[in-house]
Amino acid sequence: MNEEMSHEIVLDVNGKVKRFSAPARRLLSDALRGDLGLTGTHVGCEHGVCGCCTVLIDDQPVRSCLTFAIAAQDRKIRTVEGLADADGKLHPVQAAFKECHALQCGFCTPGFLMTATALLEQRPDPDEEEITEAIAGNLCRCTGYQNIRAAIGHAVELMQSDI
Amino acid sequence: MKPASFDYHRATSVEDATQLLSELEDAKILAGGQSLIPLMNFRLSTPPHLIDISNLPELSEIKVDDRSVTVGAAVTHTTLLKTQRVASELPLLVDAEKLVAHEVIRNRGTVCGSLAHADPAGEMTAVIRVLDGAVRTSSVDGERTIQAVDLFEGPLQSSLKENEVIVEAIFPKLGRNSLSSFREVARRHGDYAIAGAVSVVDYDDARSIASARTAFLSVGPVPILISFDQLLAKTKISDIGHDEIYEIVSSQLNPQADVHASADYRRHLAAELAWESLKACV
Amino acid sequence: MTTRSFGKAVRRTEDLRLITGQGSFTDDAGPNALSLVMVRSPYANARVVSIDVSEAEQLNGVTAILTYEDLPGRLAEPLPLLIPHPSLSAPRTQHILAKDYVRYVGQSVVAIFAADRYIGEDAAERVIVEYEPKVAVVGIDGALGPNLVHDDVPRNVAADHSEHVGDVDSALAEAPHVLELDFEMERSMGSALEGRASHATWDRHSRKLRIQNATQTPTSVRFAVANILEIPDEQVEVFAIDVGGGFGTKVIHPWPEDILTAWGAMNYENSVKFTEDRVEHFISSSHERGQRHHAKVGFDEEGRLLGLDVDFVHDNGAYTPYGMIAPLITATQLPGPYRLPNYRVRFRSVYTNTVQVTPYRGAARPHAVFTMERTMDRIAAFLGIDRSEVRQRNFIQPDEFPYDLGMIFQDGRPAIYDSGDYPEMLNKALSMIEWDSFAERRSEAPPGKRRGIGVACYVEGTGLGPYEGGHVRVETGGKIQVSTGLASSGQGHHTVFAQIVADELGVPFEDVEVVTGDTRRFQYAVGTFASRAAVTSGNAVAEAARLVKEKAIALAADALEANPEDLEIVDGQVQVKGTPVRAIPLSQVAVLANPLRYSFSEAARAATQFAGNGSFDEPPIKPGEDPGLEATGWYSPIRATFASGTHAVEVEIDLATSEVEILRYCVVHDCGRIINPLIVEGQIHGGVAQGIAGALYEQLAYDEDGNLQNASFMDFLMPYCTEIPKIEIDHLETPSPLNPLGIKGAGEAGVIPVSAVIASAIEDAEGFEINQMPLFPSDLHSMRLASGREPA
Ligand SMILES: Cc1cc2nc3c(=O)[nH]c(=O)nc-3n(C[C@H](O)[C@H](O)[C@H](O)COP(=O)(O)OP(=O)(O)OC[C@H]3O[C@@H](n4cnc5c(N)ncnc54)[C@H](O)[C@@H]3O)c2cc1C
Ligand code: FES
Ligand code: FES
Repeated sequence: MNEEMSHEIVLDVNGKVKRFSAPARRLLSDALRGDLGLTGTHVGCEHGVCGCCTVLIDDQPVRSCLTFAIAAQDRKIRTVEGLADADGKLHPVQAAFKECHALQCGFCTPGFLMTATALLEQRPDPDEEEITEAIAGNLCRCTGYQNIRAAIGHAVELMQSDI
Repeated sequence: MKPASFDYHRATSVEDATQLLSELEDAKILAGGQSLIPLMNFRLSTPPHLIDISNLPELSEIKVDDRSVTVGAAVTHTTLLKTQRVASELPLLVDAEKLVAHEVIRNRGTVCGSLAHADPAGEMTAVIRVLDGAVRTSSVDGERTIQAVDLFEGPLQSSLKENEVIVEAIFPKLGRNSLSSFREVARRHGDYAIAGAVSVVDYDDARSIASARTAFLSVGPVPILISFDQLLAKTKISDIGHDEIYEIVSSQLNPQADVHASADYRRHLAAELAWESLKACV
Repeated sequence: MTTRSFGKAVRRTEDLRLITGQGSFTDDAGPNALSLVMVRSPYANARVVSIDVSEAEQLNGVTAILTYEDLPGRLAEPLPLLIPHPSLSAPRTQHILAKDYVRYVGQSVVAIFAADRYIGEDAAERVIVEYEPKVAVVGIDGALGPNLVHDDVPRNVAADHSEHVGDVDSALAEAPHVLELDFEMERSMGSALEGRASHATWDRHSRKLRIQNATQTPTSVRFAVANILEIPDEQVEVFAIDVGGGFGTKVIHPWPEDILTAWGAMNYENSVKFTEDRVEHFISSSHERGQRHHAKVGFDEEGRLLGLDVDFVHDNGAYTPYGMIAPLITATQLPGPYRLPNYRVRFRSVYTNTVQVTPYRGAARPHAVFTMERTMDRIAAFLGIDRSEVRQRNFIQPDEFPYDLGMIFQDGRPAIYDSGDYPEMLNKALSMIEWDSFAERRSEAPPGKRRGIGVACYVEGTGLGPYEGGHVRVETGGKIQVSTGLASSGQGHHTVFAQIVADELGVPFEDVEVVTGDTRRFQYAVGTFASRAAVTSGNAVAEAARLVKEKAIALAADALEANPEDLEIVDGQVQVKGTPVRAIPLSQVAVLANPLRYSFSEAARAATQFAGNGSFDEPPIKPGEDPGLEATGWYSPIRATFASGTHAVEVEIDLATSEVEILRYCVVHDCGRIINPLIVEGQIHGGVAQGIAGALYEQLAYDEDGNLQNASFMDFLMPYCTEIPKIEIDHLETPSPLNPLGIKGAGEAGVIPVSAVIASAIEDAEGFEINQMPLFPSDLHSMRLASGREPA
C-alpha cells in the first residue's frame, strides 16, 4: 500500500536548529524523543492529562503530545535537556528538585521542571497558591506533590540569592 | 495511541482556509488541537486533511467596543484570560476562562475551537449562551452569523456546515446594571465540570431585578438556559429563596449519569450552583 | 572516623540524571527498533471465530503479523503461574495470543511487528477478527451467578481457602455481644506514569539477547524468557535502568509482550520494542480491586475482641498469574495490631471477565485494614466508647513480642510480629491531630459544612524472603561498585545502599556507585515488592561490605606489617588504629588483591610479578582466597518483619456538593531503624496520596458487558496536587530484631490505612455508616438522602 508522504521539518530546539523528515502526523513528543533523541521529554498518556510531555514553546508550557511537530516549526522549543547551563550548572529549579527530594521515579519530573521554569520566568516571586495553580495540570504518581511544591518554593529562594 | 495519517495544510489566510475546506474531502480545521488531537490519538477522529489556522494574524485579534468583545479564531484561552481590557470590560470571560482546563491546555486551546467543538461541558459554550452571543463564520458560500442558541445541536455537534470556519466569537458586554457569576464543581481542579452554572442578573435603576438567567454546563446535550424573569422580576436579590430556585432548576433539567455522578446528583448540583451563582450576583 | 550516613537525609544520587533529561527509561532506547503493536479483544467473553490479517500484511512497513497459530514451541503454552498454592485449585493464566477464546476486553489476540508504532496501529485497524460473544461475567455478583468465565471452572472459583486460630464458634457463641458487618472495597490500579515496556536486541555475534525491561524483577524476567524461548539463561541479559514507577504491576512477568519482543528480536534481524500506551495500561496490565467482606465479631462489655469470623470474596479478574497472594495477604493481615485469640477467615477467589488482579502497592492490606478498623469503630459505636479507647484495650502490648499470630504468612512462613509499640503509636497520632479537643473544632465548622475525625491502625509484614544478594567490589581507581539484583522504580535504592556500604566499609558516600536490576552484574534476586528491598538487599550489601572489609584488612595487615585487629578503615584508608600515618588506601589494597602479570598504570605496577610482593613459600593467591577486593553477601530472612503505623485525619464535608476536604492528615510510622528519613518520608507522602486517590477519586468502572468505561486519565481521576493535602509525619523507631541493620520495610505503608481512616472520619461527620470505598461525592449525596439526614 502507498507510502506516506514525508515532510522536511525544521525545529528550533534549545537554541539549535534541527532538521529531519517525518510525516505530518508525527507528534512533537515523538519527534523530540525519536527523531531528535531528546528522550528527557516523557510520554505518559498522549491525551493531554498527565503533563509528562510538557515542553516550552515560545516560553509557554504546552503538551508536546497534543502538538504536531510540523505545526511547531518557526517556534522556539525548550526541553529539559536545555535547562542546565552549557557548563553543566543546574538551573535553580533542577537544583531545588534534588535538594527537596521532589522526585522519585523521575518520569513526571521533566514536565514539572519545564512548567515550574515557565512559572518562575513569568513570576519570579509566586505565592503558594500560584505555585499550586501552575503545577496543577501535572500528574505525579510517586511523590504526593508535597516535596514538589516545596522545591519550587526553594527554587525561588535560590534564584533570589543568585542575583 | 497514534493518529492516523493525514495531510497537513497551513492556511495562509481565512480565504485560503475556506477554499481548502471546500476543496479537500473531509478536511478539518486545526486550531489549538487540544480537543482534536486527543481524539485523533485515540483514533476516534481520523480526518484525512487538517487545515491549520492557528498562525493566521487576521484571526489573532481581540476587539473590544461598546457593545461586545470579539475574539478571533486563533486567540487562545490564555490570551483572552490575560488581556486587561477583557478583565475590565467583560470580567465574566475571565471568570470562565479560569475554569477552563489548566494553564498548559489554555496556552494552546482556542476560544473559538471550544465553541466549534460544542462540548456541553465546555465553559465557553455556557458563557456564550448566557450572554446570547454569536459566532461569525466564513465559507466559500459567504459569511453568516450564528446565534449561540442555534450553534449547539448536541454533544460535540455544532450547526456549522462542513465547509464553514468560525472566524470570530462575539460576546456581548453586560450593561452597567448587570452582574454575573460562574460556579462549577469538578472532581479534580481543572477537569470538565460535573455541573456548572453561569448566571447573569440585570437590575433596574431601583436596584430591583429586571431579568435573571442561568446557563448550565454538563447537564444536557447542549448548554441549557433557564430564565428566572418570571420568578424574580421586581424582587430584590436578597429576597430570592433557595428552595424556589432549586425547585425550578431541578424540575427542568434532565442530566445523564456517568462514571462520575448519578443523574440525581448532577441535577442537585446544578440546582445548588444556580442558587449560588445567582446569589453571588449582588 | 568516617561520618556515618545511615540515618541522615542524604540527597539522592539518582537525581542528577533524572533532572537533566539523561535518565534511561526503556522506551528511550532503540528509536529504530521494530514496534510491537497488539490487536486486543473488544469483547469481554467471546470465542474467536476467525482472524484475517491479509489486508494488514500488505501495508508498507509491516514486518510480520502473528496469531496464536503462528506461535512456536513453548510460546504456544499458557504463561507461567508464578505463585502456586495448595488452595488454588483452578489456576488459569493467559496465552501470549488468545487461543480460541478471549476472556477480557484488552486481551492480546494478534501481534504486529511494524516499522513504528504509527504504522503498527494502521495495521491493527486493518486486522479483521470475527468473534462470537458470550455473556460477560462482571463483578462479584456476576462471578457468583450462573455464567462461567472458564468453562472448566465450576462456580468461577479459582481458590477457596480457610484458616483459623482458636475456637471461633465457641467464642462467638459465648460473647456478650456479636455484630455482623459487611464491607466492600473497590480499588484502583498502580497506574505508574510509565507503562509497561520492553526493548529486546539480539546480538547474533555474541549470541546474546539483551532486554531492557520496565520491570521490578529483572532476574525473573530473564529466567522466564530463557525458559519459554528454550535458550540457555546465559544467552539472556535483562536490565532495568530507570523504571517510571512500578507499584506492583511491574512485578508481574512475563507479559505476552516481553516474550514477543524477545522472540521477534531473534527472528526479524532487528531489535523490537513494545511501549504500552495509556489505554493499554488500563485494559491489559493488572488491576487490584473488588473484595466483599462479611465479618462476625464477638466482644465483651469493655470492647475486648473475643472472636472474629470473616468470609470474603475476591474478584481476581480473568486470570491468576500471581496465584492467590492478594486475598491471602488480606486474610493474614486482617488481625492488625490487635490480640485476636479466636479468628477464622475464609475466602473465595473468583473469576470475572475483567483484567487480571494482582497486588498493587499495599497488596490487599487496605482491604484487611478497612475491614478490621471499620469493625473496631462499630464496636466503639455499639458500646458508646471512644474509638481510640477500643483500640487501646485490644492492642498487643510492647512486652508481648515476638507475637505469634498462629497463621502462615504470604512467604509460606509463620506470621510472627517481631517488634512494635502500638499503644505509643496511637498516642502520638492522637496528640498530633489533637483528638481530644476535636469537639470544639467540630462545632466551629462553617455553615453548610460538617466536620469529622478518624483514626486507623495497621501492621504490615515487610522484608520477606526468600533472599537477596549484593556484591561489593573496590576498584583500583578507588570507586566502590555495588550491585544487587532487584530493580528500582523510584525508591532511592542507589542512595540507601550506598549509605549502607559507605558506613559498613568506611568509605565516603560519594565513592560508592550502585547498580540495581541488571542481570549482567548480579544474577540472582527475587524482586522489589512487599516493601522488601531495603531490608533484604540492604542487609545483603551490608554483609558484602563487611566481607570486603575483612579481606581488605587482611591484605593491608600484610602490607603494613600490622596485626589485623589493630586496623580500621576510615575515609577509604586502611590504617593502624590511632596512627593514621601507617595507612594504605583501599584502592591500593585493591591493586594488591589482584596479583598482575601486566601493568596498566603506575599503581598497578605494585602488583606485578617482579614488584617483590609476598613470600616464595606460598602461591600468589593463597588457598581459599580469590583475587580482587570484592565479595558477595546474602541475606535470607528467617521470616517477614512487621512494620506498623497509625493515621489520623480530619475532614470537612460540604453539604451542598458532598465534596470531602481533608483538613489535616497525620501519620505516625514505625519502619524500624530509618536509613534515610528524606526517602522514607517521600515514600509515605506518595503512599498516602495513592491512598487518598483510592479512597476519594479512583475506581475502575466496568459496564455489564465488561467494558472498562473510564480507561483514560480524563475519567480515571488520578489526583493532581490540588487534591492532595499536606501530610504531617512523625516516626517511631522500634528496631527489628530479625536483621543486623534493624530495619523494616517502608515502601507500601503510606497507602494501607487511608481508606479506613477516611471512612472513619466521614462516618463521624455524617452520622451514618460508611461500609464501602471508594466514596465519591455522588455516592455520599445519595447516602445522605437515604439516611434521612439531609442538609439543614
Ligand atoms: C486535558 C484537557 C482538559 C480540558 N479541560 C477543559 C475544560 O475543563 N473546559 C473546557 O472548556 N475545555 C477543556 N479542554 C478543551 C480545551 O479547552 C480546548 O482548547 C478547546 O475545547 C478546543 O480548542 P482548540 O483550539 O484546541 O480546538 P481544536 O482541538 O483545534 O479543534 C476542536 C474542534 O473544533 C474544530 N474547530 C476548531 N476551530 C475551528 C474554527 N475556527 N472553525 C471551525 N471549526 C473549528 C476542529 O475542527 C475540531 O473539530 C480540555 C482539553 C484537555 C486536553
Ligand atoms: S503525554 Fe502528554 S500530557 Fe500525558
Ligand atoms: S516521581 Fe514518579 S511519577 Fe512523579
